[in-house]
Order: sequence, then structure tokens, then C-alpha cells
Amino acid sequence: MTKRLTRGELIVLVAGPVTLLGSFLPFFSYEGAINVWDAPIFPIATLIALLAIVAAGLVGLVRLGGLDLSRGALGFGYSELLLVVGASAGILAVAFLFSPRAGGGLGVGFILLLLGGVGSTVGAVLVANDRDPGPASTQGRRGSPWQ
Amino acid sequence: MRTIATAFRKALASLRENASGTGVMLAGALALVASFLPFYEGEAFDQVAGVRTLDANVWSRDSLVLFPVATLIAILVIVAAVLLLLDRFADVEASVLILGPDQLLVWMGGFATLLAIVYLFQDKGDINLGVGYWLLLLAAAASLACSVLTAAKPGRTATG
Repeated sequence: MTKRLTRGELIVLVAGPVTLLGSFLPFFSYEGAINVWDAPIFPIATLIALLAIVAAGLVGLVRLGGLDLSRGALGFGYSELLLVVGASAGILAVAFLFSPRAGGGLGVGFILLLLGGVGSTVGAVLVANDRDPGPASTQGRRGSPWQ
Repeated sequence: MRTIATAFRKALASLRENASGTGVMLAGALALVASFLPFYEGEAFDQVAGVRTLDANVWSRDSLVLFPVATLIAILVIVAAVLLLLDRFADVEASVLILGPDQLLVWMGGFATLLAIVYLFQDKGDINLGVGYWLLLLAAAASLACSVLTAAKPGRTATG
């Protein structure tokens, strides 16, 4: 865990602060401009920022802080956790892209959150691809859930 | 008659052995039903219609945070159940990148549960959460619990 940061990890690290910044900027122009800390979208849209920040924090703790997550639980180690957290941020951000906006428009905060969420997903996928074929893909499955 | 009883006993035994997988399947069915029941209930003010009764499910486009955001809760739980169905009847093992089938199910259940829980803390004004919401929360939590039980079976998962 003392190697240089990979490209995917750098993307995840940058995506976190981008979503944090975006969370304080207008998300929707709906009954005035609202950000993700305002009702009625708090704390649902806020999750995008929180998940992307958690993903960035995970990279920071493991790669810069020396936290050892190689022995994770339920088959979730560092790369798996990063992938599920990053993908969750990206999926939620894309879902908001298709939500009705009651005649309002998308704000710059939404664009930053979308970029950050999708960035977290892409970065986490790159980290997963960089990793050698791991336990989850080769050993994580030792029988059907029906067995 | 005896054959039917034997088959029934076998089915029951199989159900008990595969309780966690069955739980994910039942949660998926529950989520499908719940998705068509009211997620929000109450009276909403509309600038055009004035005060009107809101009876919106997760497929409704009546709110900023219903379709497709709340819909994700139902979709994730249903997809988890479908993955198990495919595994059971089509022998298709779903895996995405480094996530094996067990991890996929745990993630879907976990994300759906997290998403359902945050709706509890939303400032909804005079609107209340409806029966559809509570059933979706139950389905997501059940899917997560059963997926974790499956993944935690001895010898199933290795760490990443």
C-alpha cells in the first residue's frame, strides 16, 4: 500500500472535494435556488456528496494513511468497498438527472455533483481493473446462494 | 397423496435450507408490490390545483425525489431477487468486475436500505410517508439481512 496513487485513485480523490464544493452550490432552481442541504432534497441528494467524500476518504486512509483493509469482511476489501461506494454515488447522481424538476432547471451544484459522482464511479472501476483478479471474482463464490 | 406429501416436505426442507436465498426472493416480490402503493400520503399545495390529496408511489413524477430516485430502492431489491432467480433456474452467475454474486447482493441490499433510511430524515412538511414506503424499507432491510447471511456462510467469501 505504499505504491504511488493510481490514475483511478487520483480521480476518486479529486471527485470527493468536487462534490463537497458542489453540495453548497445550487442543485435545482426550484422555488428559488436550493442546494443539497435544503429541503426537500436533503438528505437524499446529499448522499451523492457524502458517498463521493467517503470514497475519497477511503483512498486517503488506505493509500496515504496506511489503513489495512486487505482483510475485509464478506468479501469486501479496499477495491470492492471503493467500487460499491463510488458506484452508488454515480447511480444516485444519474438518477437525479432524470427526476422531474417542476419546471425548474439544473444548477451548477448539480453538474459538479454529477461530475463528482460519475468520477467516483469511473475512478473506482479503474482501481478495480488495475487490481489483479481478486478473491471476490475467483474465490468469493463458493456455491450458489441456494446451496 | 403420499407423493404430494413427500414433495411438500421436500420443498419445505429445501426452503429451510435456502432460507436466506428465499428471503431475498420474497423481499423482491414485496418491493414490487410496495412500489405501486403510496410512498407519500397527505395533502399537498399545488399552485394550480390548490390543496389536493397526494397519493404518490415511486413511479409517480409528483415530487423531486420520487421517480427515479425512490424507484431505485425497489429496482435494487427486485434486481437482487432476479439475480437469484437466474442463478437458481438458469444457472447464471452474475458478477461485475471484482464483485462476485454474494457481494453484488449485499451491495444492492445495502444501497437500497441506505436510500430508504435517508427518506426518514427528509423534511416533508405536511406530507407523511405511506404504506408503500414502509414496505419498501422492510423489503430492502430483509434483502440486506438475507444477503449478508448468505455471504457470511462459512467458506463462502474471501476478503478482497
